[in-house]
Amino acid sequence: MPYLEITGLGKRFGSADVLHDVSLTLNQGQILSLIGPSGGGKTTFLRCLTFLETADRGIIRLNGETLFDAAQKKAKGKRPRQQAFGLVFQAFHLFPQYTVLENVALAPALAKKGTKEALRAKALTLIEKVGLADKADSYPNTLSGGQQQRAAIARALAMEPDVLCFDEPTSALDPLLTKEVLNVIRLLREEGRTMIVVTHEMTFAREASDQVAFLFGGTVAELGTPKEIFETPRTEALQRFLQQ
Amino acid sequence: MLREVLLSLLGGFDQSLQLFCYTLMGALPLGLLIAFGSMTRLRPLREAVRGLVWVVRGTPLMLQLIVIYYGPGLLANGAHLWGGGGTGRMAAAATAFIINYACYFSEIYRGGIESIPRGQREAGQVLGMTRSQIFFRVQLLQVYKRILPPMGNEIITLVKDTCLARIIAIYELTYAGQAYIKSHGLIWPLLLTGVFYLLFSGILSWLLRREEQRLSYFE
Repeated sequence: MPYLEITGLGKRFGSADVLHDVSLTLNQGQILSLIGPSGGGKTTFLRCLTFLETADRGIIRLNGETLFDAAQKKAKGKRPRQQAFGLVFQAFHLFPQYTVLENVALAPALAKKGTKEALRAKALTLIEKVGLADKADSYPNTLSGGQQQRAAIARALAMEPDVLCFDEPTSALDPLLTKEVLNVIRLLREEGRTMIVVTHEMTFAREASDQVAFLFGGTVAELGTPKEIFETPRTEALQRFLQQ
Repeated sequence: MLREVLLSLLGGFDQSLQLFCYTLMGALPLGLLIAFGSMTRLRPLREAVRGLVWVVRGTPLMLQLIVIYYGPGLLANGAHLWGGGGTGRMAAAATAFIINYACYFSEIYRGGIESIPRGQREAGQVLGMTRSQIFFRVQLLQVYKRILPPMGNEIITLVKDTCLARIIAIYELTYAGQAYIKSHGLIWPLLLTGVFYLLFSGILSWLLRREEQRLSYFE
């Protein structure tokens, strides 16, 4: 049984069918890269997965547990277990009034995940892991984009998500900073984290992921190993996308 | 003479300062409630609150003062809602000022809240925070920082608006200064009155600037 199982996910905004019939599976410890042109539904897919949007159709199952089922609208009142999925945003969205350490430790403290000292120690470990040990007490506006994004990754990890999602984590960064963020993601991969990465970095998708999905026109147009996707693309849309 | 004038102006200043403090204490929290009301998804409540803000901002504060002080007595056949004497008048004035300023504050709050990028709320959401945690722990300080300059403007305006309370016979600062024109034919007490206002608003501006500097560590 796959770790993460998404079946028939769909989302409409008014009359626009942004996402339809997206089905995917992912094993624990694997990285799935989502590629595709803008407007293909990548971001909407991630937002449905992290419950920032409520999908109209489909089922999300994690480790045998049904986290979301659009058919059971009764679950509307009940907040889905949001922390199952962590999300790293394209624009970081760090909390500007808090230091890096406070950014990382805030949500676990509010969720009462442990004593203050324990949470602080854990936050510092995560900050060290993303290479920001000397910036723990800095405020976000004093950090470079790459440092901010690494802090945001530490913040997402602090809630111990089962699956960590990235929405174009390097699109706001120049090439040098992109590298340092992608290196952190590679490090997390070695630790066996399950991750879904929306990315425009084709080299990264090719080298670092276990599976690649090509989202086009709101659905998974092609799904396979990096080798299959990049070396033997079957659909014309993917062939055209890769040539650009 | 200077001593007498100073004492009299201090008495007027005491009344102005009281009204100023009551207004802030009441209007700052009430304004936040009104702001939430004007943003609620409950349409009838939202429309009612926006209607109230429209009426209060669209009519003169002096008119509101008169209506609030005299209205209840006229409607209830001479019954005194506010009681007699200076206390009653101050209560009526404070009520009018609180409602008026709360409506102005509410629009500043609303603008401040809506100016916080959506990503801040979403970041809190994906970290599993509740709505109130997101508001109080993530958004509030950012809102506070953003609304400080327009709030400062309103607060300084309030210093000077307190002189409207004379219309219901509150012996506030301007009234105290003007009294010397009638009684002694003197103009300089009025100039001294101006100095009182300048000092008071000067201190407030200084406090507000200091608060802005304190918050300048983040953007």
